[in-house]
Amino acid sequence: MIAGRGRQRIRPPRRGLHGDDIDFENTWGTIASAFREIHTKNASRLSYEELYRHAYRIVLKKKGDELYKRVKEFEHEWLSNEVRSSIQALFSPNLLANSQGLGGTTTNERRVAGERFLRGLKQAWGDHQVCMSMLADVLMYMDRVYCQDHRRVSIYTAAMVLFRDDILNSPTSDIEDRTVLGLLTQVILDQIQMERDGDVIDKHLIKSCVYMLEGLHVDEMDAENQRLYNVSFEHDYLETSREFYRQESELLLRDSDAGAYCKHVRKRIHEEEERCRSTLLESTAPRIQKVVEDELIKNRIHELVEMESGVQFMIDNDRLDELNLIFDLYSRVDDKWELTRAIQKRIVDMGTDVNSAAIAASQAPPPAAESGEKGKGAVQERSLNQQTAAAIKWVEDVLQLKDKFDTIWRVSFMEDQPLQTALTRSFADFINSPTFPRSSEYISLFIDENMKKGIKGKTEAEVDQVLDKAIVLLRYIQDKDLFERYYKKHLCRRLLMNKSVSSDVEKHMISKMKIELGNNFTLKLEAMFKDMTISEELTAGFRRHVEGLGDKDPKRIELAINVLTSMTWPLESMGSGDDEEGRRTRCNFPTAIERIKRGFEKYYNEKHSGRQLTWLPNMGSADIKATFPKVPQKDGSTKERRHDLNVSTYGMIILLLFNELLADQFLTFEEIQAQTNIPDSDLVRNLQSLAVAPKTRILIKEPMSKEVKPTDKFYFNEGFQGKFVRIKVGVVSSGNKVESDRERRETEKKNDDSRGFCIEAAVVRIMKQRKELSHQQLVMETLSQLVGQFKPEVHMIKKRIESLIEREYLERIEEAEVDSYRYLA
Amino acid sequence: MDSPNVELMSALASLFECGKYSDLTIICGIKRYPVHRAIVCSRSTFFDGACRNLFRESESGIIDLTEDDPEAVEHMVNYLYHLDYLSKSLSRRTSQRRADSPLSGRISSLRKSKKLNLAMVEDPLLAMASAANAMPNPLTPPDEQPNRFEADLSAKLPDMPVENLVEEDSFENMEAEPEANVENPHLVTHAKVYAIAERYGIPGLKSLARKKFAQQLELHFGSSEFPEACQEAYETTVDTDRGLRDVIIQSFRSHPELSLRKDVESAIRETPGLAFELFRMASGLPVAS
Repeated sequence: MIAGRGRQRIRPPRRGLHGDDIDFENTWGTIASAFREIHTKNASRLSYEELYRHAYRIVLKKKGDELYKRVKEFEHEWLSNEVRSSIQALFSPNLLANSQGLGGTTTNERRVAGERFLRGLKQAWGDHQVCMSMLADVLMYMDRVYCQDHRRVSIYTAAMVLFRDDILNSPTSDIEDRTVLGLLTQVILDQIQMERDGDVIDKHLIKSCVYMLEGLHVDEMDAENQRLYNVSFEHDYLETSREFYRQESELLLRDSDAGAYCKHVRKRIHEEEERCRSTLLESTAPRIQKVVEDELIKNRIHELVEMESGVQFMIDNDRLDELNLIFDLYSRVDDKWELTRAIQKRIVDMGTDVNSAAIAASQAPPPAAESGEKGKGAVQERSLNQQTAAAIKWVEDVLQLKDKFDTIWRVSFMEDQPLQTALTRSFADFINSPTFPRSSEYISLFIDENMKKGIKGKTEAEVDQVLDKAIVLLRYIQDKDLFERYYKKHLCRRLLMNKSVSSDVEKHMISKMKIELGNNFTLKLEAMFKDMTISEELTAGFRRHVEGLGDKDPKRIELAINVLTSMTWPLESMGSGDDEEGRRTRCNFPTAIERIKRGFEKYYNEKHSGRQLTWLPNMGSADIKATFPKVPQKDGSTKERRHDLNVSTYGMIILLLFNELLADQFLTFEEIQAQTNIPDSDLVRNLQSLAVAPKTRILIKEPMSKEVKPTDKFYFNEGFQGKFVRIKVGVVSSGNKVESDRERRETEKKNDDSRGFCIEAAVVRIMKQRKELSHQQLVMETLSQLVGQFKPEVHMIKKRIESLIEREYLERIEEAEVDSYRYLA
Repeated sequence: MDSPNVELMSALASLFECGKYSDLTIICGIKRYPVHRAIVCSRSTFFDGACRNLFRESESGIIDLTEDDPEAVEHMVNYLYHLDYLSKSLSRRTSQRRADSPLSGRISSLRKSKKLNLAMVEDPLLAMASAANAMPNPLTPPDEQPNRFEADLSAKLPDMPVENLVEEDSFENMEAEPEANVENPHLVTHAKVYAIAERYGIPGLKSLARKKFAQQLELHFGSSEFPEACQEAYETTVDTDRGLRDVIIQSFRSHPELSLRKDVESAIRETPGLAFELFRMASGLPVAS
């Protein structure tokens, strides 16, 4: 552009701007001296309007470029002469010494020197900012017109950059290449270290200097990661902190226990957070946090967990607070694997202990077995009782363990979801451990025990609690089908023998299981209850029917009957071992009994034609009124003694044989067997309870011994004495007890059989829907379908598939690349 | 205008007239304007800068603008309180208030001439005429800045003015009495106001002054003030400030006969910036480099 110089005027010159060309040097001189006044804090003597006008004119006359340059030069001179020397005056030996990291100066001396330096720097920076904002206001027009048009940074920004170059990047001394900025970083780090060591430092002072570093950038780009704070300070800060915490963690792990360590770490984390807020910048918080977490937690996690006072110690001693601390710390680092692993290990260890204790308790020789007085049967009985006790103890121990870890989880682990999953998995692991196959049975026994005795006299809420505990354990059980089998068996006995304390509680339990395991699971159990109800109606109906037949017969036998649907009830598992060859034993009932039996069969067939009734004498019981001959009483009188005997059905059949015998006549075992056709084992057991058990010796056995041999003779015990009128003759092993190994094998075999059906059903269901499927997929889908019931073994699935192919439900697809099957409709 | 606006505007007007709560005085020659920092500093970066920092002005509460053109200063202060200047309603108030001030004699005498001030009148015919004049010159390059500006201006002309006039006058509910001033289009004044607005950083005033200048020039390009107004416009702002420059160049473009006037010719000779731009225009180059 052409400058309008030396033009002639046709009008009288106007005032102000339109005057002749300004004398730049003169005007600049005025401005420069005014700037000096501003820098020495004498601005109130200056007229803003005048300065503004001068600057405005210069810009208007297209000298903006020159003005800008001069201002920068002026500031450069000012900073490198006046300000720098004032900063250098702050350097002292104490201040410079710490850079070597050598002793010779006390911490306090260093702190004082450092604070003096920081304060001086803060002052210089503050002054510079204030003065520059005044200058910038004076040079407003230059900023607005010249800087914008020529894409220059505002004079204020330019002057801030000058501060960086002329002060911060200036060397601290002629011989060292360390800059003021480096020294500043050094001093701040030193001060922070002092604070970490417990000193009190001037946080505000440091914060002001940090703000300065935040406001300045390394280059002209204003990117955040180019701030002096990030480039010069933060990096060093993180590095020195890392080193410090590395050493500290080493020292702490050596000298203190895990709990104290955790407390200390938490304190440090909190301190660093606080430091970022009060002394440094919040943006550093996540970064320093990571350093602390890395050094104090992540890199030490293994050592910490495995310490003598580590997780295991805390669990064993219920140190909930410390566990909480450790959890809190671990939740800061990404994975809680170490903690999870330690806890899982502890659970499995403790659980395995419980398992072994149960096995040991069930196998330990009973202490009384030594005394040869008692027969082998009693020993067996005792050992069975012992096993039952072991089972119940096992359940209670597991529950206790569960309670313990639940508390830890709730209190210490803040109900953390992944940890809960881990806990559950560990519990399931040891409960379903292959070395401990009895958990299903034990849990069912636990419920059985409670149903029969445990819940007596408990409030509804307490009962509920017990049931819930059982449900909790049930959740862990993998082979739910096995549990169902045991539960059915135990429930069956409870129902048929009237052992349950409360049928409401029984039904409640069923409904709980229904919620937990689904409708399918409880279907058969519910059917059992239904059978019981129908049977009661049948019994009552039959009684009315008999009453309606004619005169009341005083000798009439009352019949209470339970009609059980054969598929629903686990009758086979309740029978004695004689079913091995598959024959259904049929004992000979006494005539009176036989008559009423026929009567009922007729009655029943009228009601439901086409149903076949099978009698199960081994399950029943009978009340007999027995009269014993007079014996002399203590008061000298003699009196006929009457007892109400409650015996098993077999017991009744046996006793009725003696009705027809004279007092001194006897029956041998073989004779009894021949007359009654009672299966051997049942007969032995019944005879044992009638002739061996001391309190119910209604028969006399000869010779007297525990064992029952085919040649033994039995007499009616006329001299029987009982303290009570009503006497219950228990039959050995009629209650629910732990199975013997042989029984167990049978149960497992049966279970496997029924699993086979389940698998086949699942396979057919899947294939019917999919028509064609590869072997791999079929196995996968089968597994997923059955997961709620049990976990089948793959070879079992294979076998079932083979069998289905044989029976032409499926066929192999010949041409398929991978093994595949096709459904045959 | 809704009554809240009226309320605010009249409150501002009365603050100015009474000088109540004034905490800053603007001096220009012998005139003193008691003003309010809250009002002037929030509108002008210059006043803000003067009051914000610890210069003499902020301590004494006096800003001396004697170096500036007194008329322009008065218009600026008026604008800060009334959002307008040189309008009839304002001048009446001003003259009432400062009957004794030496300048007021001149101003009121100007006003009293009661001649039609076409700047304030929105005649549809005139508007159409100006719109027609403003039609883009087919010879000019399409991306030329003045053209765009003109298009803007002309596009606004037909519908904007009537409302504007009502607004301005509604302060005192007076009728739009045509203001008389055919012979004095105030072109120089508007250019000065424009310059002072630029200088003290009052964008609103700047655009108001430009609008008035453009309207007046449209009507009075033949005015004897034109050459001086051109000089004023080209000398008081930097070259990149296109506000008045574009308006002037457009006038030359629409009215080539202007260049034939003697007084215009000598003004062009004296104003290299204008001469240069006219040269570029004539050469068919973009005016603004």
